[in-house]
Formats: sequence, C-alpha cells, structure tokens
Amino acid sequence: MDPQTLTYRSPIFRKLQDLNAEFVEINGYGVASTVGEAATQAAAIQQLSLCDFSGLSRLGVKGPGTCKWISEQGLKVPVECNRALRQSNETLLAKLAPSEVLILGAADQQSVAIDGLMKTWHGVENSTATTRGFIVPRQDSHAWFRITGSKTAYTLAKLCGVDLRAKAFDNLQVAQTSVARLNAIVIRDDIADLPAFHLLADSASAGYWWDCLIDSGLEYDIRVVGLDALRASERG
Amino acid sequence: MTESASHRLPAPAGLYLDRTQSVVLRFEGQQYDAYVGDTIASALLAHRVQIHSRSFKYHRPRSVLTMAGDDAGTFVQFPDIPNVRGDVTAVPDGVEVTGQNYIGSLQRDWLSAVEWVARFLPAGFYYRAFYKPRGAWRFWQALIRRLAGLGKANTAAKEIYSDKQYRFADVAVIGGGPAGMEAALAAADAGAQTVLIDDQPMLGGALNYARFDADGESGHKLRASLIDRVSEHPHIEVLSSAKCSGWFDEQWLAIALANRLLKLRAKSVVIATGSLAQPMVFRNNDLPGVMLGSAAQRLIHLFGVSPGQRAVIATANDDGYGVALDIADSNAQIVTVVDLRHSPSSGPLADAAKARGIPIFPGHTIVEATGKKSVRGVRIAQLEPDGQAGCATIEMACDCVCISVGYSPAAQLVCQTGGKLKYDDATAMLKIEDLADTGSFAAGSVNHRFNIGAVQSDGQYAGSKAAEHAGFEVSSFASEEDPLATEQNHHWPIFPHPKGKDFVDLDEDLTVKDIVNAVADGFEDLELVKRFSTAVMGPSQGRHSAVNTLRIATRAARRETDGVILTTQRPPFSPESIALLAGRSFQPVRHTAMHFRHVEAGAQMMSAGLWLRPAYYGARNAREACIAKEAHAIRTNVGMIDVSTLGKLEIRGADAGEFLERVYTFRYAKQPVGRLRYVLMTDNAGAIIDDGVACRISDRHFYVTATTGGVDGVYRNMLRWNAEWRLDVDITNVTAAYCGVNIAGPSARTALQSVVEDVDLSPEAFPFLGVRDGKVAGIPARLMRVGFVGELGYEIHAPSAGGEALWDALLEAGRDHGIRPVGVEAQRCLRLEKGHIIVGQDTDGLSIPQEVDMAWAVAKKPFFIGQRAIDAQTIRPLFRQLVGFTLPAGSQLPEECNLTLAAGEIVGRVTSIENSAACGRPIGLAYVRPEMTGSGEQFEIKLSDGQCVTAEVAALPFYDPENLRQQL
Repeated sequence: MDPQTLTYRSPIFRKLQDLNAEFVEINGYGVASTVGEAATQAAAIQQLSLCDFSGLSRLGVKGPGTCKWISEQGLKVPVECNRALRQSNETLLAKLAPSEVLILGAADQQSVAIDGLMKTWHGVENSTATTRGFIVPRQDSHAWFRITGSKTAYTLAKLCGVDLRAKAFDNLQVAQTSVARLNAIVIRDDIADLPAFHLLADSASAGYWWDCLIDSGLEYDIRVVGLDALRASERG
Repeated sequence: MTESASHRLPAPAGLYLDRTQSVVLRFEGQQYDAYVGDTIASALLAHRVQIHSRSFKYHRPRSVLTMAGDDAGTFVQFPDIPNVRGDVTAVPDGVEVTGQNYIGSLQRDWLSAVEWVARFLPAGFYYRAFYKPRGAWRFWQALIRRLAGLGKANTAAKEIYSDKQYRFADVAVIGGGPAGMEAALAAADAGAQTVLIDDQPMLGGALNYARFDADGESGHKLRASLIDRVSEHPHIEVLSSAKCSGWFDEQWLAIALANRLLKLRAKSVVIATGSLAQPMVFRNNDLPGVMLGSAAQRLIHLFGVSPGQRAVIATANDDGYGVALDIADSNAQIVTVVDLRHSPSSGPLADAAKARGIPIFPGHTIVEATGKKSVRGVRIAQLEPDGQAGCATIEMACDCVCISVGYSPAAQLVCQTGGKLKYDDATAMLKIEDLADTGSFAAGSVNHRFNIGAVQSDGQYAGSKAAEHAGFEVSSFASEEDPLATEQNHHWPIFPHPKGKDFVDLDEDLTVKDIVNAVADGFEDLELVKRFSTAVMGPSQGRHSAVNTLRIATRAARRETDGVILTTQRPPFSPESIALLAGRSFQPVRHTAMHFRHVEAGAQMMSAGLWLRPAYYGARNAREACIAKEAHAIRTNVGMIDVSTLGKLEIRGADAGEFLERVYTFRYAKQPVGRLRYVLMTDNAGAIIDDGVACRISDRHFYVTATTGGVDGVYRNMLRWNAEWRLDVDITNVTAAYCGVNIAGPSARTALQSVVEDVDLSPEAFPFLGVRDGKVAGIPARLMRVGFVGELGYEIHAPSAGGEALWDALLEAGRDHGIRPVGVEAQRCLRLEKGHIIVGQDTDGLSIPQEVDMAWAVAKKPFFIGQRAIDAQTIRPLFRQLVGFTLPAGSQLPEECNLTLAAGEIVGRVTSIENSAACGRPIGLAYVRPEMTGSGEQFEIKLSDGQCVTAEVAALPFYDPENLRQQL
C-alpha cells in the first residue's frame, strides 16, 4: 500500500519507503507494519530498534480542570508530574505538568479510546466554565517514535543529557528534555523487561530527528522495525 | 625495506607489546619494523633513531623526555595532523610520519642556525623588536611564524567522524594506578556505580613500570591483584586509553576516548592522577638521550626497548636506584649513579645497587651533557655545601642520562575543582592546598603519598569518602601523611652553566638566564614571569618547567619559595582536538508537510530560521523569470503559497480577549467571532517585534498567527507576561501542528470552491477578514480571508499530517485555472507592491509604529506592552520614517541595507527592493528623514559599488491603492 493514497501521512514515510517498508492503514495514516524479515526485526527489538509510531493516536489536554476532567473520564492521572500510567483501555497517560497530560494510544489499537475522549471534550465545547482543560494537538505537533532494546540508553546518551539508564530512570518515568537539540518528551515504557522508550518531538523536525537517532544507533546496529514486530513483542 | 630493531629487549619486557603482530613505521622516508603496542617513539628508539623532533625556537634536536605524552620532544607530523605526540601515539601502520619544524631534513635542519644568534633572541625579544618602522611587523610576523612552527595543519584534510556521549556514575575515579584502583574498589564495595578512567591502555599506573623493591616483583604482584579485583567487580566500569581533560562544575568531566568526547556526570570524583617526575637543569639537558628515569623504565617495561647501552643516572631519591637496577637488568652498563644527596639512603633499592657494584658518586651532580645530536657523555661535579656545583669536573662517556630528582603532583584537575598548588619548602614540592568542598577527593602521589602502602590506603580513604559523598554507607578508612614525602625531591636541582643551554622549559627553549632576566626586567610575580617569558605556556603546560621556573623566579626576586602559589591551571588538562570538541553537530532542520512536493516541483529551497521554504520554482539560472511568472499568476489568475512556517498560537480561556488587548497594540475584546484582525506586538521600548492576525473562533478562543522567525519569542513573552498577570488564559504554540496554504488571485474562489464542502465562499457569506472552519478536500481546516499579497485570497490552515494531501488537492482543484505554486521571493514582491512591511526586514530593534506608518494599528486603550514608550515618543518629533520609493525603469537595483542620502548625508537605509512587473519599475521601502516623505521627494541611494541612484518617494501602496482586489 502506498501511504500517499491516504490523507494523513507520517512526516518520515518516505524514509520508511526507502527501506521497503510495507504499510497498513491505521486511523487514516499509512503506518509501516513490517520493515524486513520478521526474525531480523524481532532480534533488533531486543538489541536496538526504532519504529515510527507517528500514525498512532495521541492527544494532549492542558489547562485548568484538566486532571479533574480526565479523571471523570475514567482515566488514572499520576500523582506526580513526569510520570506515566498505563490505563485500563491500554492507552498510556503521562502527566507533563500539574494541569497537562499526554495520552498515547496503544500500539495494537485503533484510535477508539482517544477519539472517544475527543468527542466527549468537544461535546461540551461551548461550556462557559473552564472545567476540562484545552485540547493540545499532539497528533500533528509531535512526531512519535518508539525505541527499544538493551542499547537504548547508550544510543540516547549520544543525544540527550538525561541519565536514561534503567537503574537511574524508572519505568513509566517521563523526561521533558532536549534530544539532539529538539525539545522532546521521553517516556520509558518497557516491553516486559526490555528497555523501551516513547520519543516525541516537533513533527516538522521529524526527518532530522529520525536521522539523528539512526546515526546515533549505528554503532549498536540499530534497525528500523515495523509495527507488527513491535506488537508481537509486546504481546510476548 | 625495514630495518631490524637493535635495541629491542626480550619478553617479559614490553608489557604493551603484542609480539605476534608486526606493523611498519614509515618515518622520514625510512621504514622500521615495530610491534602492535609500540608507540612511534618506542619504535624509533628500538632502532636507535634518536632525533624525533626539532625544538620550537632554536631547532635543537629533541627526543624522548617523559614517554608519557607530557612533553613536546617527540612531536611528529601525520599527513593530516600536526603535533602528534610520538611517545604515546601508536605506530600508524603504513602512514607516512615525519618530523616537523625544520628546513632541510630532521637530521640537518638549516633553521638550527638560529641558535648562533641566540644571544640576540632572549625571552620576550619580540615584545621589543619588529614593531619599527611602522608596518614592519607584517614582514617579521610571516618570517617568525615560518621559523617557529609547530607542524602544519592540512586544511584539505578529510573530515573525521567524532561525536559525544553522556555517561553517568556515582563515583568517577581518574587514574588507573594503585591509588585509583584502590579508590574505585572502595567506592564500588560501598555499592557505588564507579567509572575508572585511565589514560593508559592497561591499568596499573606506576605499577606497570616502576620498581618498588630490589627484585622488582612486589609491584607486579600488587598490580595483578588489583587488576583482578577491579575487572571482576560488578560495580566498576573501566575506561582505558581515556583522557580526562577537564573538571567542570557539578562533577562534570570531559573525557576524550578515541574519536568520542564523553561527558561524564558523577556524584563525586576521586582524582588519582599521580605525579610527574621532574627534570634537572644543566647544560645541554635537552640532548636526545637525556630523559627522566621514569621514561627509561617505561621504555623497558612497557615497550621492551633499551634506553641506552651506557647509562648515567642522576638522582636525589631512591627511585633513581630503581632505574639503575632496571637498566642494569636490561644488560646495559650503568656508568654511574650520581646522587645529589651527600648521604644517600640505605634503602633496599640503593643497597641492591651497591651490592651489584654499581658505581655511585654521592654529593655530586651533572653539570653538562656533551654531544651534538645526542648525548655522548656527561661532566659531573661535586656539590658544594651551598648546593652549587663545584668547578672541577669529571667526564664520563655515556649514551643515556636518566634523571630522578623529584616529583610534582599532576594536580591540574585538582586545581580545576578549586584547589590550589602551593610550594612547600619541607618537601621541596608543590602541595595541594584548599581543596574545595565539591565532592572531589585527591588520592595517591598527587596527594603527597609516595610509599606504596600509603598510596593504597589513601586511595581506599578517598574512594570511601567519595562513595559517602555520593550517598552510600561506608566503612571507616583513614589516611595519614606519608613521611617519605620529604625524601622525594631535591630542593634545588638547578645548575646554571656559564655557557647557557641550561634549559628550564624545553617547549619554549627557555634557559635559566631567560627566567632571571624576566625578573630583572621587573616581571617579578610568577604570573608575569609566565606571560613575559612564555615559560609553562608551551604544549607541556608547565608539567616539567613550572616548579623550576617557580624556584628560579622566586629566588631571583629574593623572595621565599615557601607558600608561593602556582599559576592558574585551566582545562583542558591534556590536548583535545577541535574535531572532538565539535563532535557530531546537531542542526535541526524543519520541513513543512509539503516540503517534498516543493522539491519534486523543482523549487530552490531557502532557509527561514530553522525552516526550509521554497524561494521559487525552477532553475537557478532562470530565477528572475520564475519569480515573475509566479507573481504574474497571482496577479492575473491564481497561485498557492506554502505558509506553514507562520507561527500559530492558541489563546484560550475566559480572559483571552483581555490578554490580547494587553500584548498587542490593537483592540480585540470586542472583536466579533468569525472575524480576524491584524496584530502588532511591541516591546517595552515601543519597538515593533512581531505581527500577524488574530482570528476569533469563540468568545473564549483566539487563533493567532505570528512571524516565522518571531513565534518562539512571542510565545515566550506571552508565557512570561501571563505569569505576572495571572489571567484566565491558556497559551499553546501549535506552529508545527498546522500546515498553511495561501491560495490567492482573482480565480482563487472558483479554484477553491470545488474542494470546500461546508463553507460558503461567497463574498457576502465570507467577506474579507472573515474566518471560517470547514473541510477542504475532506480535511478539517480553518479558512481565513487575508490580503497579504493584495489579491482575493484564502489562508487555509489544516492538520500538518494532512498537509501534503491538502496541497495535492488544491493543486488539482486549480489545474483548470492554471494554478501555480508560488515561492517566497514572489510573495515578497507582491506584498511590497501592497506596501506591507515584514517585521525584522523593514523594521529593526528601534522601529516604532509611527515610523512605519502603523499608527493606525495602535489603539487608545488602558494598557498594552510598549504603550508608555509609544506615548512618550508620540510627542517627540520623529527622526526617520519608512517610505515607499520608486526608481526609473532599468535602474541598477540597490541592495537591502544600502544607505539613503540627502545632500550627501546618511538619512537611512533601504529595507526592501524588488523589480515590480505590476508597477513596471523598481519599487522599495526605505528610511528617510520625516521631512522627505512627501510624494515626489527625491533622495539618493548609495549602491554597493559606490555609485548613487536617485529615488523618488511614492505613496503606498504601489498597487491597487483602493484595496479593491483583496475584497472581491
């Protein structure tokens, strides 16, 4: 499938096409489902892999009333900032500030949960009281990559000054920091015992950022993988 | 053909060598066989090649002094890299290596003739010469630079890949000797994640080469034991061949590891960098063959090379006897040990030397080395009770002189932490004073511990203190002063010779007389001596000259040495290549969602801040024609411009209107929903800093655009201001979230209509300055009727992920109307025809609204940022004003920033200039005096080539003055 037949496109879909990726449609986006042999991808996920999640659903909400409204929607909000919680609907909710959250859709889901939240939010748009925060268009403002494997901390250490080693940076901890000179949101979200991170940064700089990550990971034999391989890995 | 190594020693000598693998050293056109593990200097000395380099000033032959990379004696040239330290650089297999800083050959350097006129070239001579007559320095500078080179940089060298990496540790230990290893073990035993940084390829430090007992076994055993424990410890990571070159605040260490700069952040640091053996000053003490005793031991034990066949040892401590024993064990002859002490100790090393029949001259010193290109002998003399050398001398033939007269702590890193090095008469040594409470600890000989037991316990103590500082519980350790510290250094190992050549600083060819003369010239303070004479300022950074310079200068100034503080020590501690500092650069580039469509369409891209934007579509050599076609399309038909780079801000909340009232100059509180208004932002000085439009989406929601380059600053300002005001408003920068396309031209409406589903585009339903939300080609979009280019136009903002599809759909929709993509250059021309300013181009940091005819955008209201300044300036006469001007058709075009003149005086500058097809002549904007703003007034523009062209003031806008076209 050619992603250009769809309305919405990842900012780096051409780079994935260059790797002969196969695409599937998710949420109107062409998302790379496989990039090379399954066994190679599975091995790379353990060692060092990079996957483009930009086509998957995500949503930001910020402003007064955000946490209360999010809680009313049945989602758990971490007590502390810069922490994330896995939700019962498989989304991952990261608290970025006292009144700001980022919700990432699950890798093996369509955007139902996040679409539902959007609809609920818009349903009371003209409410006069500020009781539900404001939508932040993270779907388009930020590219979203997933990096996995035992070498992630070493790779990211070439781009980022935060100590992301497993012993120093807890699972589901969040860092809002600079990665390759871009403002980035880094969320550790291990796959079982395998170190893995969500990386989100300026979508307009996505191509540059992707190249930096690949370049940084070359010495650790980084491989680009597709969504299918990651889903399989997450399912164990 | 390679030569065989005549001075190679059999194993076990040569710890660093892999004798199973050979490499070839190509030096000065000759080939020499070597082993993997050899350095350039060790390989050359194995073949008895003694001249490795030429000195900086007098071009004297130089060779190994330290074998530790701490001096300039082995500087060699690689094809792409000058000043390579041959004594620590591995033999580069097959690479052509040469000496440097000579004319002729390394053996016969014509520039050594400089030495004949040395008496006319004292230290600081260039401060007093070459500057007369006026302009003479240019000539002399070129000549001096050619004569006093330090190798040649290859400006055409191939770029190498170097990068940087962060590292983290609880405790970082710098130095892999016994103190460092003990410190690392103590810290790791306490549970601290410890990084042990060692600049050598193998751990061990002095244990790898120094002799600690008569049979030379105890050091080897201790080394093996410590290395085993370190390598097996789960909490220790060893970085070998890694040079820590700087300590910075909060325990931030810069570490060079091959082509990577590691940026290590630790909670605490142990500095166990050891000490530097010090040279002795006597005539010709720089001849090849004269080296430190530790250098001779390194040659033997690390590289399996004999330092010479007939050696003289000059010592003032027992370590010199260890050197003698090591050389004797390598089957070389010890001619004599010259002991500066009148009563040599009866330590085990001295006793062993005596037992082996090594001749000893107590109470003597070397006063001169003889030889021309390498040492051929020495003259020794008895020391008088006052410490001076006597006149009577004894000559001895030798080919190697080894010096062991004392140490100086390698405490540069300690000094970087805030510690100071103070001279201590009791030990005749520099000593660490005032170690700042930064979480850094010194251990081992850098901390005045020399007995191996004291070194170990000091390492354990420092390691445990570092772990404790890092938050770990530790057992109690203690470290006591080492009584042997007073037995290491001779207090005055300096023996000036009437004929000179008694070098204090080998880097700069400075002799005793140079230092004494600097003081005599009035530069008494050590910092001044350093700067005037350049002592300690060479590549060695005073490692082997600082202490003797301090002694000589202080005595010459008739001051006490005790308590004198050494000159400032700054990073880097060891050389860093520029490539390493540069690392892999990170220069973010922003692409709009349609970027690749522009590239596919043949656009010439240009930078706009971090963004890339299409300047125009077509070949570079057809630039003007391309721009004209694009402008023509918009004026006559329809064109589309990618405006995604515009800043975009969501201002939401009950106080959104009030917030805009405060940050922009116009009125917004009563702006109707569905309408947009121009916004102009000024700073506290009233200067224009940004503009855009504000769309009212609802009572509580504005969508505001800002300039491409200004949006980040605008966003920052808004956050900062509202942090003070506490209005009920949320500010979000959504620049990247939305793409933007401006479709403009008389046919814009009809072209757009076919892809807009739910917005009535008729002028009645959607008038100029209206804003509507709807769908374009099925993509949710916000449509704004704007007139930047002065034609009927719509700015469409949509989610950036759909930007490429939106662009494709609009291009397809306009195909029948001859739609054309239009770049930034044509857009700039079109807006100039309408007299619209670009903030930052037509304004500068001082432009106020009145100067640029923007007073209409400044409302009378209670408050906005910059209001007081603007009000104050309103009552003053303006001193410049921005006006439109035209030039006669066919005129040479001025450039932006060309000066505007009136009666020969500068009155302003050109800010914008374009060749306007619509106006049929060049048009522009320029600052002139307020009295020159009437239509038809003339002024001169001085072109870049110095010519002047006459411009005529014209009313703005140049095109469609009634603004009818944009309101269609």
